[in-house]
Amino acid sequence: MSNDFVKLDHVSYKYEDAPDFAVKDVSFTVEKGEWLAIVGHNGSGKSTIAKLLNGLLFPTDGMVKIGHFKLGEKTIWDIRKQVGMVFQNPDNQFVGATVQDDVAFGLENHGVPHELMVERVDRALDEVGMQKYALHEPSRLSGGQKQRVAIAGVLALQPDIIILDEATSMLDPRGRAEVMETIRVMREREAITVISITHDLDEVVLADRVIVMNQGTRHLEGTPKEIFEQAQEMRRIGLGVPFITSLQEKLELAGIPLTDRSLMEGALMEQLWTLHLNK
Amino acid sequence: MIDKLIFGRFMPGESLIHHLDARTKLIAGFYFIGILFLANNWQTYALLTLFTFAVIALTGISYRFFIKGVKPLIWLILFTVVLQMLFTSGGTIFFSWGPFAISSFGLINGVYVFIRFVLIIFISTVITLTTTPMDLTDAIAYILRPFKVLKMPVQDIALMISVALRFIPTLMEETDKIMKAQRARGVEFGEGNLFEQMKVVVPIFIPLFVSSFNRAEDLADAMEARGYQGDQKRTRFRILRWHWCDLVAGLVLVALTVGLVTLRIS
Repeated sequence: MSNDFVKLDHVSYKYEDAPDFAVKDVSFTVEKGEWLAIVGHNGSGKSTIAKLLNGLLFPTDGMVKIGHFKLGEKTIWDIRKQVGMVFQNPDNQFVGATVQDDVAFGLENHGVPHELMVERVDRALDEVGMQKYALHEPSRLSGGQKQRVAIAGVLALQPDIIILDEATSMLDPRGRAEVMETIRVMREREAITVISITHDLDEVVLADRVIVMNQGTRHLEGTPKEIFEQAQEMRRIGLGVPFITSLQEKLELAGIPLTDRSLMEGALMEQLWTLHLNK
Repeated sequence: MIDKLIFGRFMPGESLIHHLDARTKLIAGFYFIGILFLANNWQTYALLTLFTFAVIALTGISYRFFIKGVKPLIWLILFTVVLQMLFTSGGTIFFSWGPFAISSFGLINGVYVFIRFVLIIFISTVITLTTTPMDLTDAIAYILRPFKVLKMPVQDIALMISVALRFIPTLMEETDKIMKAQRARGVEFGEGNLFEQMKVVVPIFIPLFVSSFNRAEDLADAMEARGYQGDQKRTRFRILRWHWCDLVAGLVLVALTVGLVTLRIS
């Protein structure tokens, strides 16, 4: 049972002045090393879940458990040690005056000794490919670069889980691609659990498992492929499907018989190519 | 907008002055301003001026930047100098009209005041141009350290200064954006009488304040998520270290003080 690294058990949360629950009776578990994507449109409660996961908010009802710790006033700092978080706005989460100061900020808080700190800052910057910007100020970086620094700041703390709370939503397509690539490479190197909260459907394709949120409840759950096969349902709750799925739908409508729905461009190309040859 | 501000700007370089410890520079700067008031004749002023120009030459930064630093204050300086000239009496009187008189003492006094102002500005410009804001923050934190005994939250003050410094460019950019956005909707800045000019500042300030609150909230979340608790014991990433050149700088200052005292007539 130690596989369930993160566990939410019938969690509900209601903001003080809000008439409705932001999150209603949500339960799910995440295994160690898994990449879970949580999608939903604005106001579906996904960002609230992110804040519940590291104790920036406490559940009104239910229980959150991370590793061996049950979320509560006493365990909050132990939990935050295990959970790294990257937020939406690249400007507002940059604490340090330069890139390396920002990466070091979390380490300073945890009382890491100086020599070890220098080493870990170096390594974390190397890992996200920002080494040559170590002395740059945030005002001289692009949005994507700032988010990569934020990821480095989290990596330097060596957490077990990284939560990306719409980390790419304020970036241009290039910055977005850079950040996603950084996360993909990082996951290859370390066994790290990623929970990404997003409304960018192309990001979801990379995940192992997807939870679709709608109006504060868990609406659908499955692998990206399973989820996007229910294109009708996704559209009904206002989310839509990634480009590649809608392309395949259109091809089917045009009478091209595709044997298998795929989420990878390569696999689709293979199919079309085979079809073309068999004609 | 940022280009106009010379004060508080850092010019990267490799000079000896750049390599001095920030604490040395800060303390030496205050010390220099202190001993400036020891000067009372032309020899002492000449010595101090020579010293200042030697320091400027050592930084390897063009004189233009130092002149630029004086420019915004030039009216204040001239005003003080003129007042000194008009109201100091003694010596040969060249011209007098009612309570005003231009005398030889007055002229000399005016020149001294002018030199004093310019030297203070030059030396403080040397410090800000050759020290990164973060190093300055660290130096301030170090110098404030003894006040911990008086229950002064030195660590929090240092963090506040460094966060404030870090957000200056961000907020400048945002102000610029808001101004442009308001201009696009027909707000005109810098026109009309004083009251009208003050009124158009409101559509800049209110959004700027609101967004600062939002920024602060986000930043606090991000800091907490990364383990900042405020009162905990923290280690430091940047460590200031004294070198031999700091010792040399100290010795030079001592020599300067000795020279000043010997040249001074009491």
